This record gives sequence, structure tokens and C-alpha cells, in this order.
Amino acid sequence: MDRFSKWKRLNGMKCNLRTDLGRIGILRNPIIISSGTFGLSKPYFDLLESEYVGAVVTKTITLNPKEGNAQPRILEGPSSMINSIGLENPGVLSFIEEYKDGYGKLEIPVIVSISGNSVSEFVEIADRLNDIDGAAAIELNLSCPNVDSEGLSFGSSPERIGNVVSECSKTSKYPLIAKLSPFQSIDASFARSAEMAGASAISLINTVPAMKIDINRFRSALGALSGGMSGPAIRPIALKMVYEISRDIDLPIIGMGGISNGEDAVEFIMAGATAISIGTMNMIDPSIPKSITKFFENFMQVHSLLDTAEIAQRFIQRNS
Amino acid sequence: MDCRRVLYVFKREEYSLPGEETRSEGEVYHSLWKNSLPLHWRVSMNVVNEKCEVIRNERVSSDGHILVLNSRDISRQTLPGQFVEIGCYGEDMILRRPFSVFDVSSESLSLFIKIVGKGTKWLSELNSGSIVDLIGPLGNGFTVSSKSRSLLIGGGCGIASLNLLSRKLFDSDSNSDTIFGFSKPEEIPQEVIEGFQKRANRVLVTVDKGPYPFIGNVVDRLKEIDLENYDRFYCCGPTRMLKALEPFLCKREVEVSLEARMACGIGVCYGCTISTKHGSKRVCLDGPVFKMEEVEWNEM
Repeated sequence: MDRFSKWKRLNGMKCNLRTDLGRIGILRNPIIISSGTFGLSKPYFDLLESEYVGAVVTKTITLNPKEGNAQPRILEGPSSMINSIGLENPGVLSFIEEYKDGYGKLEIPVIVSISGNSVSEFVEIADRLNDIDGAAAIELNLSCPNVDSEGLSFGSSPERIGNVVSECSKTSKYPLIAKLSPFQSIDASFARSAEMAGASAISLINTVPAMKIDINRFRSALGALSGGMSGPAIRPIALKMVYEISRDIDLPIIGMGGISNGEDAVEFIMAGATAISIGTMNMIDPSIPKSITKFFENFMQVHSLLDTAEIAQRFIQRNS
Repeated sequence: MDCRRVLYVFKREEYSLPGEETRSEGEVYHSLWKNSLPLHWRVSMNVVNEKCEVIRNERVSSDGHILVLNSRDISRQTLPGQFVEIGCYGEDMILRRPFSVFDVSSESLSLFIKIVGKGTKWLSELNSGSIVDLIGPLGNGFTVSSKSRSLLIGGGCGIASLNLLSRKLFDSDSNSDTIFGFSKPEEIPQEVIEGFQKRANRVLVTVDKGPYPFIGNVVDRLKEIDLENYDRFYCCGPTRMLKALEPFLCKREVEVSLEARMACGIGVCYGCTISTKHGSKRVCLDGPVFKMEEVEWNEM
């Protein structure tokens, strides 16, 4: 394309940040707020600057109310945060009760994150969530490192992942997103299994299992022995996982893990993510969706790109 | 942007919510408080993000610094007991740090920094002219009633939130007495104590060990005092101290300000929850000031 036609193409046209997440729908923006960094209380919602956010993911909901883990729950490491919140939440029934006045009133798509201790628990939550209207999707948290018991093992084999996804998809009226993590190995068979079982998208990655020891007290620095690490330190791991899995499956991928500025976000799009999600940095710098949006617009203008899919295409062209 | 009033107010100058006029300062209520707290807690406020310049960084004790920051938006709204979250930038640091507001004026805000880790070390070494990033005021503050008699009990850097409180009490014609506990004599910030002496009838200081007229903890000094003389008690300090005070004060009107490890400071991460008689609550949003009787001290 010569310079003139490029100019013509971009002249008067705004960069298109619309993001097609397949069955989940089209988001106005590829930026999603990750689970656990948006809270659960409705007073936040009217404050959301929705023009810079494509979708929000709720804090993970479990079947019964969950108190979460002992304190301390938050630690800081090199460019990272380790948390062991333990999915504190009021349970699916309270969530549904509050949904109408809370999440249900948001003008942007809401993805409900759920987790259970057994396949039947996942299915029961998914079933109850059929009562709510207008959610965009359900994200199956198959990989939270902060839950005891069986919860951990869901992500441990492709069969188990496939099982949860297919049982939930029989029950739920909503499209499903499987959230996977690097401790389930980078093997794409996990993602493929979720795809075969009927998932509509894959989220990569959850926090990475981690711990810290307080040597003077001879005990773990976290109340719950170990936790999940997030923040910029895990970004390269997440990026590679997104890259690997996007080669192998056709589903849209929501990439996340330490994204802290526009450059990071573009990296994930190049690696193959359709949308990106902000977690830890959201809590540190609340204006980050706006600055990432601005970066995207500028980046796409500079490189004469019309939409985010073109960013990925150009990366593929140069690397094949 | 994230998802609460902070975020909207955050860039208030640039745009307002769709279909809504930009509200003037003082009119925007912190929605959570407005809905859930009893009347006396209702305060009109904006939570803002502000870049503040360090005006002065003064060492006031062996490990204590007072950081005076140039602030307009936060300082004008802060109530005693509220806190700010500061971005600390350095190796291995990523999270903001919560600090009680030590003092305010119309143009400045000061913080009492006790060096305990990397973040506080970094802050204590800031030169004047440096810029820090603040979000605040956060949390809810102490109840200040005029013409009352109060006893302020502080330990270590708990002195920070009590300082502004004592000033507000003084301004509202209330009588206050103070007890402070420190672990070593060199940790006593003399200047700060002198400030308290100007405003309080009586200031008692105690240290855990070392050459000092009074050795012991705050509970020991509390025993010298007739508690019937006070309508209200305010406590701020390490959890251990607050726990030790509880048996003495449990039947009285006591407000405690709790310290907690926090990530977001605005109520979204659930990192700082504590057990209370009314279920688990977040220190950053529901606190840091709680009624003493409300807290489940056995689980602290």
C-alpha cells in the first residue's frame, strides 16, 4: 500500500477497537477488568468509566458464602504481588439477589466468574445463574491456586477440564470461558479439551502458585501458607502461554498476567490474544484502562492499523 | 478506569458521567458510606488522585519522619482517622502504601512515617521537591463530638492518626488526655509530643524498655487513670496493643483505628478483611476506624 492510500484509509477514520469475542459478543474495546479486581459492591458501578472498558469480570462466586483465608492475605515480591484471599464472596444466592440492582445495571458486558469444589457444584452455580439476565458469559475459574481441596485439581488434566466445561455447557444458557493457568503446563491439550467440550473462549492466565517465608518467625508469610502471584513478574510467562495456545486453538483468547501499560497490552495482542485483561495494576493505578486505550489508538495510528486484529496479523506475517 | 467514585472523581475536571452535571466539591458523596453508615459518619467528600510535591522531610525520632506534602484536593477534605495510599517506586515495590494522615492545612498534608520496610525507607529518604502519587482521603474517620471528654491512646506510629484527631478535638472545645507507648526512648518524637501537650490536659508517655521515667506499656499507665472521667476513647496502634486494651475498655464508647496489609485501599481486593460481629469487613473501606465492641478480637 502506498503512502497516499494509507493516508486515505486512515483519514477521518477512528481506530477501531471493537473486539469480536465470538459467541460472547462484540466488545467496544479489548480491555477487560479481571476477576477479583473489581469488587462486588454495586456502589462502584456507576463510577466505572465504561468508555474505556470492554467488559468486567466479577469476583469469583462460589455456591456457598466463603470467608476466605486467614490474614495476612497480601504480600509484595519483586514486581509482583502474592495474594491468598481465598475467594471471599457472599455465595451465588446473594449474588443473584444483588445482581439486578448491581451488575445488571452496568452498561458494559459482565462476565460472571464462578468456582466450585466439584463438577456438580460448578453445574449447580451455572444452573442458578440462568436466573439472571443479560450477563455476557460465565468464566469457569478452573485454576485458582488459593482454594483448598479438590478445587485445585480441576485444571490438573485435560479430561477434568473437558468434563467441567461440557457439564456446565449442558446446563448454562451463557457462553463459557475456561480460565487456565501455567501450572497446568503449557500444553495446548488443556485448552483444546475445553474447546472440544464447548467453551467459547479461553482466559490465560490465572495467578501463578507462589509462597514466601518469614524467616524470623519460622513460618509462612501468608496466612494460608501459599498464594497466587500476579503483577509484571508473571507477564513473560503469560505471554508465552498465550502465544503457544493461540497457535493451536481457534477460540478467542483473553490474555492477562501483569499487563501494566499499553506496550504490554499490544504484546499480548501480537501473541494471539483477542482481548486483554487488567488485574493487579488496576488496583495500583485505577486510570490504566484509559491510558491503554490511548496507547492503542496512538500505536494503531502510527502503524496504520485499522483494528486490533491487524496488529496480530502483522506480527504473524513478520514471524512466519 | 476502575470502578468507583475514585475513578469518576479522579478525572473530574476532564469529564463527568453521562447525563450528569459535574458536581461541585463537597456535593459528591462517597456512595458506600452514604448508603450504609449511620448519620454521623456521613461526610461529603471526593476521593482524588493527586501528585504531591514533598515540601519538607523531617526526622523526628530514631525511625520516624514527618513528610510534609503540597496538597490541595486531599488535604482540604481529610478527616481525622482517614488515610491515603502512596505509590512507592523502587526495586521490588509495586503496591501503594497506606498511611494515616498526620496533619493537614489548606495547602499541605503531612504524614508520619515510621521506617519498617522498603516502602517506608524509600519515603523517609525523599528530598524536598520529589513528587509522590497519592490517592485519598480513604476510609472513614473518627467521630469528633464537641465539648466532650476523651482519652486518646496511641502506640508507635498510631500517633499519626491521633494527632489530627487531637487538633480537631481541641478546635471543637473538647477536653482530651493522651497516653502514648513506644518501645524505646529514642523512638519518641519529642516535637510531636509537645504538640499534644499544647492541646491536651495531660500527656502520659511510656516505653517498653530503656532509661525513661516510666517503663511499661500503655495498659500500665491506663491503670493510673480514672476512666469515668471520659465520655469517649480513641485508640490507634499495633493490634497487640489494641487487643490488650480491650478488656479494660470493652464496656465503654471506644473507637479503634486498625492497621492492615492492603493492596488496593479502595475495597476491591478483599486483602485487608477482618472478622467483626457483623461478619467480615474490609479495613480500607469499612474502617480503618471501627467501634471496639464490633471487632472480633479473638480472631485478630
